[in-house]
Amino acid sequence: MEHNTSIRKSDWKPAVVPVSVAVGIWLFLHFLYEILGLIENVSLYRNLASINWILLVISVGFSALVVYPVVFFRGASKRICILAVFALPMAWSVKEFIRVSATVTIAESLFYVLFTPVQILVFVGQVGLIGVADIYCRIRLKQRKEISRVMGPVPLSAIFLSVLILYFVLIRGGGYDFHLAVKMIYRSLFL
Amino acid sequence: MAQKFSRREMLKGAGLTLAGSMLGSALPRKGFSKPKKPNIIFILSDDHRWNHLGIQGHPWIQTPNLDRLAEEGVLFDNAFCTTSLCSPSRASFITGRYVHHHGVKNNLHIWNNRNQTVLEHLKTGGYNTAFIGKWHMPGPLPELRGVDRFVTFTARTGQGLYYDCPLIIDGVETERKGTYITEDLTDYAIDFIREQQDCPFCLYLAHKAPHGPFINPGDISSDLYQEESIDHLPKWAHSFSSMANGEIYGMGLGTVEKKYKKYNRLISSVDLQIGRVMDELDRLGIADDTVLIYSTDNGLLVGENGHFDKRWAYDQCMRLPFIVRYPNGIVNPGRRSREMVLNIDVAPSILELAGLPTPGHMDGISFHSILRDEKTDLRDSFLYEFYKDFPPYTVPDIDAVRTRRYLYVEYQNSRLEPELFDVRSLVKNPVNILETPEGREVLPEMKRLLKHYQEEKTHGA
Repeated sequence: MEHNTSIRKSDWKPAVVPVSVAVGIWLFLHFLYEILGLIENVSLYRNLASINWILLVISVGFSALVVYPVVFFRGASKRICILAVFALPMAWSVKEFIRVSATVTIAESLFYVLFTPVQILVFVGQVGLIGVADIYCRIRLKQRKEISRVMGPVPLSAIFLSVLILYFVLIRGGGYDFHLAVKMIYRSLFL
Repeated sequence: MAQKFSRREMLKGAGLTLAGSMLGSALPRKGFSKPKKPNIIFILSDDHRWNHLGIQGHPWIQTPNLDRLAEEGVLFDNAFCTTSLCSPSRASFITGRYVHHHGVKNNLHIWNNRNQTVLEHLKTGGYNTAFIGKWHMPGPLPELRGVDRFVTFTARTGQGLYYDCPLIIDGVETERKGTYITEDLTDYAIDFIREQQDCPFCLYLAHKAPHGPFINPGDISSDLYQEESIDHLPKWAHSFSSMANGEIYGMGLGTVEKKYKKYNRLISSVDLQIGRVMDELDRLGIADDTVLIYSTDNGLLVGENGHFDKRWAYDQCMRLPFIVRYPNGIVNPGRRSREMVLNIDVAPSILELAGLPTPGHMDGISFHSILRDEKTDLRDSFLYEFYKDFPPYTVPDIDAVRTRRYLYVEYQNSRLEPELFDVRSLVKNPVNILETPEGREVLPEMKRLLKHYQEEKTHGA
């Protein structure tokens, strides 16, 4: 039997708790990172801050791998699952927007959250991770004999597209080519 | 026919000889002869933090050639750039002008070909000139008037590549497979020196190193500094702190420990190549007649206040390693100077050393008197300016004033509050003293000074 993947616009309920937990963990780690600065012992601070930083990156960059399956198996539609995945990166972007707008204009801050490499890495990364998470969900469904086929063109395309963009943003020319392209776009728009 | 001397003349000559020998090393080696025009070599590195020299007490970096240069010349302990960013600072070095005059505000603003360079003036004064290395100013390559040899690169918008970096040699793009950029540029520099040894020459040699990404040359072992500790860095320098706040391009990917050691290896690699230039001068017998200046475009924060960047008005960013060696012109070599010298001072100083007048449009002041060990008060304060280099760097426009004791920083068009520092605290970690009793006492004078500079800037002075 195929799992019900039809769109149920009103069905936010399965996403509320997982998303809240994910955002809550990120916020906790974010504020903990600030509080750790109070530690005087250099070695202790550095060790804890490094661990905290890794957890922060995982929470913002890889939460899709947890959020998507949890929301999915709580009965949400795929659209809700995808929106749930992007909730945390969106919250993080708002935080970045506020941070950046302290030093540059609102328009430039908007440019920052839309085009700078780290922002793109996070959002495009989610697309690929959604593909991975979806395949994981389908494997579980197949194990339950609820579906017959694991691989589909949509999740594979998402992974491919994500890897392709990540290559241009992060790997090609050590990421520097993309960095320069962004600067050139900025120059044409703002200078 | 042999010249005959009277007894009086003999005694006078002997007296002068005795006096000269007593003065000994306190005088330049050819102190009383009419000075001929010296050769000038200016070596500029990229992002070399001021205290990352063996002679400056760094716990483990090895810079034997730069240390030797300082021991044979003058080490300027208070050298600064007026804008701590590559392109603006480079333009200031070569023009002797502030950013608000030469117009290269950041790494995006295009060089104006109407700018006059120190090389142009030297050429007029009879010098053979070469610009070899990193130009790195936005826009097409300039029409460098008065430059006989122009070797540069445009890869990655002028940042260049450490390996296999194609060079533009007098306008002709040339593949350089199998080369490492610092060594390759030094080869061209040495070739130029060999060709020009019978004429006064000025060589402007601008290296890419130690700018990121930190890719080390083959002749520097990857084991170098491997076992060293980074305990001397500020507390904030945890393993991933350089990638916080989206700043993944400043030092690249990887842990701070690895990147910092690579950075130091790059400094040592620059030192090695400077040693080659010094050896060549010795070999050619022209070291005494050659002014050799070493500096960098700007410094680098390595964890202070959590930053790994150069775009802030802190000493770690604006302070420069600055060494001048000139055996025939420096009195009492091997000393340190506490005078405040700036990147904009290099061009007028070079012109004075070459016996040429300083054009009125230059903002800098010649530090020649410091080389002569004369009592000098070059300046008590200076203006630092920064024009935002966004994105992804989110440092706003800055105007700041630095005195011998204090640094006052105002962020323009930004929600960031002004800052005031006692410069003695800046070496460790900047601590804002604005709200302290000392800060409140000092603030009015610092604000007055900054306003004075801002008015000069606005009115084009």
